[in-house]
Amino acid sequence: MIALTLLMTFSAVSANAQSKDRRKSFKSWDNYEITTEKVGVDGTKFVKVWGFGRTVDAATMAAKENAVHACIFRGLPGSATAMSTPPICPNPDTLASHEDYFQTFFAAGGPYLAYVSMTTDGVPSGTDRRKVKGGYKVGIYVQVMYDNLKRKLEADGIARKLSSGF
Amino acid sequence: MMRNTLLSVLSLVLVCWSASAQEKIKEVVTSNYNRNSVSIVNIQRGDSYDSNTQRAVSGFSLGDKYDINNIRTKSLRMPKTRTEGVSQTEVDEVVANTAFAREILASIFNRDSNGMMDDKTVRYRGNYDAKDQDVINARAARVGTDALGDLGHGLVSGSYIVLTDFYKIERNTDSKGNVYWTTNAQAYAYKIGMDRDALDSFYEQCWIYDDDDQAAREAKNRAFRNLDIPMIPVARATSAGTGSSVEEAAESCMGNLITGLENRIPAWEVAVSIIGKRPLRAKIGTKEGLKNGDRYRAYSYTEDRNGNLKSVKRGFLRATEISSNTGMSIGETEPSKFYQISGIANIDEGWTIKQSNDAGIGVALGPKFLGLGNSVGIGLDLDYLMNVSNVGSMSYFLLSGSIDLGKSDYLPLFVGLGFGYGLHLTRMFEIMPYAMIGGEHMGYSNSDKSNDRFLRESALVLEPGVRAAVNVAYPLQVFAKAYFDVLTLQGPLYKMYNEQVGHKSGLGIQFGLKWTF
Amino acid sequence: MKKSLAIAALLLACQFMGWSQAKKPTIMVVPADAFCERYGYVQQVNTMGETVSSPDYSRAMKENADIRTLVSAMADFMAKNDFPIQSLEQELKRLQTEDAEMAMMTGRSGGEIEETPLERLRRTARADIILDLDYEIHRVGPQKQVSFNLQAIDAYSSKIISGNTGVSSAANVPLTSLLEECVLSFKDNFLSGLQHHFDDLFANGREITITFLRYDNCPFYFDDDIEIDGEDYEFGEWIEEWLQDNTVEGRFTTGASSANRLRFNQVRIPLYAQNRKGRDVAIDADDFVKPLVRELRKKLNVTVGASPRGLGDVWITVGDK
Repeated sequence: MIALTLLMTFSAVSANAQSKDRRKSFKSWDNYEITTEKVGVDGTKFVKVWGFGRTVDAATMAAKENAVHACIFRGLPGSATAMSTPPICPNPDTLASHEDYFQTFFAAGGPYLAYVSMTTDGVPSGTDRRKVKGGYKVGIYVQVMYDNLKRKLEADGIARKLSSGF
Repeated sequence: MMRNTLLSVLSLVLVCWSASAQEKIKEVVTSNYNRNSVSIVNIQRGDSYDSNTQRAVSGFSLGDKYDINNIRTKSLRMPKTRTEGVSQTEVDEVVANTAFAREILASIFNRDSNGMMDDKTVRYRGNYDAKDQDVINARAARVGTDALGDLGHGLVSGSYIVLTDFYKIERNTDSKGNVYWTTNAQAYAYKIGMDRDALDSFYEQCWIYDDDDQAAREAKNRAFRNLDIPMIPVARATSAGTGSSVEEAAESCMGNLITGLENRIPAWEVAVSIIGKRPLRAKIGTKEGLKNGDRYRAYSYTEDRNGNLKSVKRGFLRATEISSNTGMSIGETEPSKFYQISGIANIDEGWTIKQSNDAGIGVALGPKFLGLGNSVGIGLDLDYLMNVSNVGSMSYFLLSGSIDLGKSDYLPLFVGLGFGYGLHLTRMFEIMPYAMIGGEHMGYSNSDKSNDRFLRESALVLEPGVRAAVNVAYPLQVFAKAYFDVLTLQGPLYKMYNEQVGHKSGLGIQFGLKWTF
Repeated sequence: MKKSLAIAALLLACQFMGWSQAKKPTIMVVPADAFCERYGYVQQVNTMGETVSSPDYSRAMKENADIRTLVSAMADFMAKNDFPIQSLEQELKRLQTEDAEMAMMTGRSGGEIEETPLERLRRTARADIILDLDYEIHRVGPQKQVSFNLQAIDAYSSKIISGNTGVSSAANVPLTSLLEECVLSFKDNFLSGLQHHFDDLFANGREITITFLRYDNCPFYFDDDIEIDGEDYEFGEWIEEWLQDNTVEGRFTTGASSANRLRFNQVRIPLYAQNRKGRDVAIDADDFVKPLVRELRKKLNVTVGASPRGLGDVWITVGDK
């Protein structure tokens, strides 16, 4: 019984710690590179995005998260033949004011995955796969379903619709 | 004939040696490889060999790896005797005075007599060069796969001319009175000095549209005639060859010349990423001219403290099963398979592999103990890699020679040919059962000048054995060999000498070092 | 605590929106003058004895398939965002029938109303936002490349809400691919510009222009002193005071002020106002000036008419309707 209590306490503490970790990383979540490759097919953004992780798989997942994060909060830089894309939520306070929503949204295996699909052929390779201190840095090509993502955030009341107020 | 083979082997060895020396330049190796286009132009000296060498050059096929720019100039005149090769400065001068760049552009854009051009070839090449990633990327983009052909515009800058020069062409006769020819050869490669900006300005100045009026057409044709695009020297390679005719001798040099240039022009070396393990796989194949046994080197990437990209050399690997990919990519290219032959770490998915040509010839040298003479000798083995299988078993053609130092009066010399089958338990360790057939010759100075003396002084030797080799620092290996020599069919003189020498069937061993070139 | 406050605020906002919905601005794509000139879609118009060339939209729309591709691509994404684009072609047809009626109307005011085709279009189509579209097809040898310039213009203030310029890929592909690539390229940036504009609308009110015109029948000039509520005012001064009281934070600019004409720009009017029954309703320029017109009639005892020119521009005629 004591063991059980201890276990529960421990797991609660660690869950709490994880959540705190996540909160901390949310605030500093800005350190990644993303570039627009070309104008994507209707409703999508075609970008190359980098991620860091302890393993290649973890880095790839991080890159996918970064791509969605960029579409929501940072916007995408333009390229020679593609204009820049503004963020879906341009208000810098959105993340703080809806932190719980985004905690769930960006949870491991969370809803964000429905809006991003990797178009890298196979695994990240060549110069897009770099061993760096503490893990790997990988660059992947992804398609972000920007319009769907926008609609989802609008429906959930996070982003405002263009027609709201009229 | 022996001398010629030796010469060829030596020149190959030299080519490989200098290639590996060149690699020492520190630069980041990337997996960007695009097809190059080549035109071969023969240098004529104004003598009777011109037509022979021209035929050899015109008849040479570069294989699937390169696109051919069919330019008008097929030969260049450089009056000079063939006692020595033409120098770089001399070639530079002639190249500068020939409108090669214009001819290349005319060929790529199918320019007709009215100056009209099209992009059929460019689009074909763009589609043909497109890798799976390009196809997948194109699908994700609005302009779509229609735009794949436009990748071909980027390939224009990968246009080369190769000038071949044959010199010191000699007529020889062997001991039996057969005539054979030898020649030295060199090749100079030049690259078109045209980046994307230059290409755009070419389009702007010279491209005639259907709705252009006569004046515009004339102005554009004039601009084309006045185009001044340089050809930049990039590499030189040498070779030597023999043949029963001048043409054959010249032909035999061509492959080595191209390999030599390949080793010196990084853009010609195929580079690609590993897409899977067990077995190692990569999306290249016949389109890139890949052959069984071709050697590649693996690289992984790191960043230094300042975030600068660095490529790290990893082990070598050889192609085993070659896929046929000579079609347009639809995003699902069948990969070829590879076997890792060196390196401490396992080659991983995503690493880059880059062509690293070698001759596939191993040279093993070391002392021999026991064996026929039950004494100490020295042995030199050459093995030529014929085939590599998916699991790393390698077939070798063997050529072996050894000398018994214990009985130097009679100079017992063994020469054998054989076949070995190397099994790799790990990539570091190869065990090779082999069988060899050869002869041992003993000589003693006397006045016998008869024709069959050589045979009478020889005996047949059969040698089954096994050789084990371990990588020390590839391509250096240490090896140990155990074998059983069966001495049979002794010639009468051999038999007589052997009464003094005392060679007999027996178990032998050899240790030594092996280097693969 | 924070959360409950937020919820309350949200509920309030919902109710507010439920009560009163602002009129949705209408949007129309119009080929830019530069485009029409480049492709020869111009017509000669006689204005005050002078012949000037002006864009011929109906020819441009009829003869140029590319611009129709662009418009339908834009209409597609605007419809997805609940802002259907007005069809320029349909408006042009309507315009033709209205032209006849216009000719008859000129007699009443005694003078001709001079308008360029664009002004006329803006007036009759009543698009609140004009998307001024220009593009050019460049040939780069065998490749084509499209450069584009799209400006969203607030039709009343003539201010650029969102500007988008760029180029497509250079490729030898069907032109429609490149044109659609352009639209997709600027789409989100353009929408964000609109959003920004709407945010500004909700925060600072709608920007309108009010013009006062004096008819001969009017007993006073606009710079005359007149008695209102027992006090002497210059007519213009009194109007300014009224505007100070009724605009959002008293914001407006006096554009022109003369004996026969007064013009007020950048008049920021609230999006909503209370109607006579005390309900919140969305208003436009015409609605905004209604109380003013009533007050003028009552206090000055003259005929005052208001004719709206779209949602954000209104002409108030004093002395006649």
